[in-house]
Amino acid sequence: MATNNTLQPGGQVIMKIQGLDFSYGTKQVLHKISLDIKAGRLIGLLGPNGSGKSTLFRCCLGFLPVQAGKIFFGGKPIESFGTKRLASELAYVPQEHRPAFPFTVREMVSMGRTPHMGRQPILSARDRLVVASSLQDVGISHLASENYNHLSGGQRQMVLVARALAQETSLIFLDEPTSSLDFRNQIRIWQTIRKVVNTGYGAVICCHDPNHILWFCDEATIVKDGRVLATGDAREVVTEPILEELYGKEVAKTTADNKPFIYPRSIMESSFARSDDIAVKGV
Amino acid sequence: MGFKRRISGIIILLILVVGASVLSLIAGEYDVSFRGIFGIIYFKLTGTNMGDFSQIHEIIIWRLRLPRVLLAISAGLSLGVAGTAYQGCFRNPLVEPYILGVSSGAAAGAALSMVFPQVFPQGQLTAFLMALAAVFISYSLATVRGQTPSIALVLSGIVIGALFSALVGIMKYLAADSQLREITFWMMGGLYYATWDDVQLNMAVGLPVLAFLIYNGWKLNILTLGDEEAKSLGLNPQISRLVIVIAATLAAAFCVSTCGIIAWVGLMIPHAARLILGPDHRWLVPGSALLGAVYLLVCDTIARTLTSAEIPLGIVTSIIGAPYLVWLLKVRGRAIYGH
Repeated sequence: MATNNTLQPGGQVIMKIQGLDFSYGTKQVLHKISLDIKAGRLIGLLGPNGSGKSTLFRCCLGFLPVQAGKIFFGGKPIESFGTKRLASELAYVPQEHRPAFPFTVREMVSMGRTPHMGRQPILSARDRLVVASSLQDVGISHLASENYNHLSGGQRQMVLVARALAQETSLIFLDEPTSSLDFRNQIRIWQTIRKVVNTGYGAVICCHDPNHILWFCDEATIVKDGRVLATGDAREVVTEPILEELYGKEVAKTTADNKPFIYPRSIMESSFARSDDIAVKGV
Repeated sequence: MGFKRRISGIIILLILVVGASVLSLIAGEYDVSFRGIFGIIYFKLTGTNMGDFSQIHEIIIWRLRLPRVLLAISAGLSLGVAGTAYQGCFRNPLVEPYILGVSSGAAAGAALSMVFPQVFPQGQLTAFLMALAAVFISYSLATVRGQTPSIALVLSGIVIGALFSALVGIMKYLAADSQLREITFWMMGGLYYATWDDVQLNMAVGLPVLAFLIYNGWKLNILTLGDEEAKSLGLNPQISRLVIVIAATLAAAFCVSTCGIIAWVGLMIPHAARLILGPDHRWLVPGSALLGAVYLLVCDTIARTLTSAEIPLGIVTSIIGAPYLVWLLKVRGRAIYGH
């Protein structure tokens, strides 16, 4: 999929958020958020429920209006982009869901071509080609004619990732794509996203599992109470004190095969531990 | 579902429309032969007399049956297309003009202009505006914090429908005897008074709406995914939904102001068309138009030939349609309730 001419060299800032505030009525959810989003990186957004990361996401995608502060994409404020133009620059992968009508996988992925279609509601030969290669990149070509609603949750999530690829944007936002999936599918989705980013896409992913961020993300941004707590290289940012600050529980970081690994310290305490662990440790 | 299967589906539906029209022209009290029917139509269109036919046959075919057949086609087309458009842009497989209160709104508007012609001289326009008010009130009542649950929209549509039906009741109460008769017959839904003027007016609205909705078929596909996804795919959901609802309501309101309330067609037809052509609205919209035309042709022929007296068309479609909704809820209930 080297067809995208908007792909930027990795490391260059493509989205710049400056002093972003957002309130629902009188309840302020985001406080002066400032953040640089770099091209070609996989960026994890970690924060407890209600931390404002979904709101931040929705502001970046233009779903919510910028109330105070600025969001720039490619140097221009995102309000200056029309809906269609913005959709050709930013793709959105929602959590998998069942639409009201039984579209096929190919039809779902084809909808990603919408921002590139002319006035005629017809897919061009190039559109079809991009759809086919998006299906292939995600490894679901064999499902193309299946009914999307009859797939498993993991497969549906893959289809939504393929749709975002078909959109040919330089940046993809993913909203907790693994939260309703089993372990095997969680890893599959992450590997697919990692593969996609390695071919030059940038991705911002909302996620609840600090391990996923440590294993797969280049960078991490930690959000709490509508403020950025820390941002930078994922393995430097996701630390014991930060996680404690987020979740209020003691967590420990260790390494296995030179890879960092987070676990709750409480599994070592007798009151929470399995009885056989206690016997071995002699607590 | 490939291109070939869809194009053959459309062609078969076209053939069915033609076949049902011919059958509908033949069926009736008076026997007019196949040759006779075409002789008359050919004569009327070209002025060449191909054979002998009587004056009475000419009146039956040209003044009574043909306008009625064309009005059935136009009404079926309008209701089928409106149902498909509403289902798509409200993401709700249970809605149609009747359930959304659109039909009652249009009926109230038309009744208003029948009883107070000095105040509301434009019957169709009043019907359209009241129908538009009905659909917007239903939709905004059912929408809480940006979510519009399927069942909530059905319920609010029923409430609004009841409200506008009450308004029709008031009009009936105020109406003079001759007007009362007119309103009552027209409300039952039927094509018995079909004239060439009705055909022209309904086709002049129905066909452009059909073309417009086919052109917007892709947008309808995108709208079925929900507002945030639609926006992330480059579509402004509010504007798209607004223009599509206005177009669908225009077709439905004109149909109601001519033919009365013909319920359930807009519910059944999109479902059946989806089974034949799949959910892509670029195909589904024309498919629903053709299938709606076939369905109303068949129902209307049954309505006027089954017994010696005519059964109102709206009653025939309700007898078939209401059980269909029950079946739909039983079979597809889980998906519809959102589990």
